[in-house]
Amino acid sequence: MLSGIYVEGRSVFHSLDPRAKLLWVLLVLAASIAAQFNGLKSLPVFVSTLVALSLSGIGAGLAALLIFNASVFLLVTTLVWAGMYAAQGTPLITIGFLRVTDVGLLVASGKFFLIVNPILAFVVFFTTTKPYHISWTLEKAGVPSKLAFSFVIALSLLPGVVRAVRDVTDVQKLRGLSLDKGSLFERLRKHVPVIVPVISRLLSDVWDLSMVLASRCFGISRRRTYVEEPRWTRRDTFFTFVSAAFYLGVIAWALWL
Amino acid sequence: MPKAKTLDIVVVVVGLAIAAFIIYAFYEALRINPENPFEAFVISKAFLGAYFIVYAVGAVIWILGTLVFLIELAGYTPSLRGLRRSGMGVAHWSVIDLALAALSAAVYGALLAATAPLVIFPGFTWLRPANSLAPLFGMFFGIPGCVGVAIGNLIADIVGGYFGVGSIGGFVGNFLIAYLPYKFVRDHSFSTSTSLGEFYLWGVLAQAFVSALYICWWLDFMQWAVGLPVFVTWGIIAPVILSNNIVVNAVLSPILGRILYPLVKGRGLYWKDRVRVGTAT
Repeated sequence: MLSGIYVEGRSVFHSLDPRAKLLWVLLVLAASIAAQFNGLKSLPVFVSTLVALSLSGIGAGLAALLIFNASVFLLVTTLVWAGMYAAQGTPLITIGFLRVTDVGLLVASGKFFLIVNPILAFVVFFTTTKPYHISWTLEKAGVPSKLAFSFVIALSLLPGVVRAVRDVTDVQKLRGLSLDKGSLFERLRKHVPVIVPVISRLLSDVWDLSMVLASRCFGISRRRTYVEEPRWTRRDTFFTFVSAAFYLGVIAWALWL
Repeated sequence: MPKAKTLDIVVVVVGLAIAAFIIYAFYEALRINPENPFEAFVISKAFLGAYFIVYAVGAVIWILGTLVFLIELAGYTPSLRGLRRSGMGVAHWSVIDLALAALSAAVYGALLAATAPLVIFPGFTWLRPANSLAPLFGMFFGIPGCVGVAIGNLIADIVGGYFGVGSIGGFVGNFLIAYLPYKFVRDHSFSTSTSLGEFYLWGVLAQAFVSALYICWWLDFMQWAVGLPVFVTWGIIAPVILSNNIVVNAVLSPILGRILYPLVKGRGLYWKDRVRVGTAT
């Protein structure tokens, strides 16, 4: 899932300045926090993230996949919140010890969206922003350049390392390794033949990567320079204005109306 | 047998005994209350029963842990004589340190994301074998390894769909998992009783408590933004973090450490060898 992190595309979100997108993510988070006790007021925020997924070319199907992925965890959290408000409001569903009221359902759905909305917003951000621009944005936000660059390199290398882990696992399984058989401690120990080859490869790759960085004179100057820097356009201003108006409106509705 | 060696052996035995007790406690909780085993799980009950004490201690650990994190990144390290320059701050990283941090993060994140957790009881608890690498990366690679573990956990959150405000606690919490054995374990070879004893004390027991308290205090403090009820944070997440870090690190880390230490030393990547010759400029 999301093995590529950044997904190449020419969607509306791909063309936006990363700072505008990051601000949008923060607005989604703020609105979700403000509306966490009323799922009806948080629903527009959730719908907006689905729209964003569509506008980014990723699709609402990914939202369904992400929600399904966390479904057990989310179900437990939702039921816990519904249970905590079981004494308030009009009962809607009563099954044995489970009693869900209208108030409980509103709070539970609000908490559900509080968890899901930021997840979807960050997915949109990372899949529509090039790692190069993520590094640039983080540095603009004050993160030390070496730290930001480490993060971006790790994100970029992730798909390759995931493939390497799966290849090693498949090869070891062909040699008779069965990771799902045996006692708990045996199954833990059986991961050694998977982890050691992956680390061994890491140790080789460190020297290669460091030589590539050294050959590009990385770290020579304190301030890193960029060949291609994002430029703020009128589209970014319009998007930011519309986002601010919408999410600040949701916040006002949730807190004061 | 010298007294220090006896103490080291005792620590190893205690660490393994605690790991075995945790597994036993899982079975007992499931037997007593199959519908909601966390209600009967002794570690959940301990956290929730002493909530105010746990919250206060968690706050202290959060403040100290965050300060240590910032101080180390700035190139200083706390010692008994106050702060002294470590030469391992981010500004001093060489290209090798940068590559170590990035690749540690990629490997740690990939192993967390790509290897399935060992489910002990479905929907109840699970173990992540990849967590065994966190203390090892800190011990072998120093601060770049600790930062790599933090970034790797963040990446796993992003890939797994759990990225949010709570990930900030996970970022520094995972840094501390790698940092404590890096700072306090003197012999990283895993070939002597002293090495094993120190690892079980700092790399199995201490880091498990510190990371569980750090991460869950943050989730509790930011409840208004994270959305997790107190019962879930301290009754489920804290015991799972604690149990996972103790059991996995007690069983798997010494085996991996014993195998990997000569490889790391042989490739010239062990941090004590590099910092001693002043390569961190």
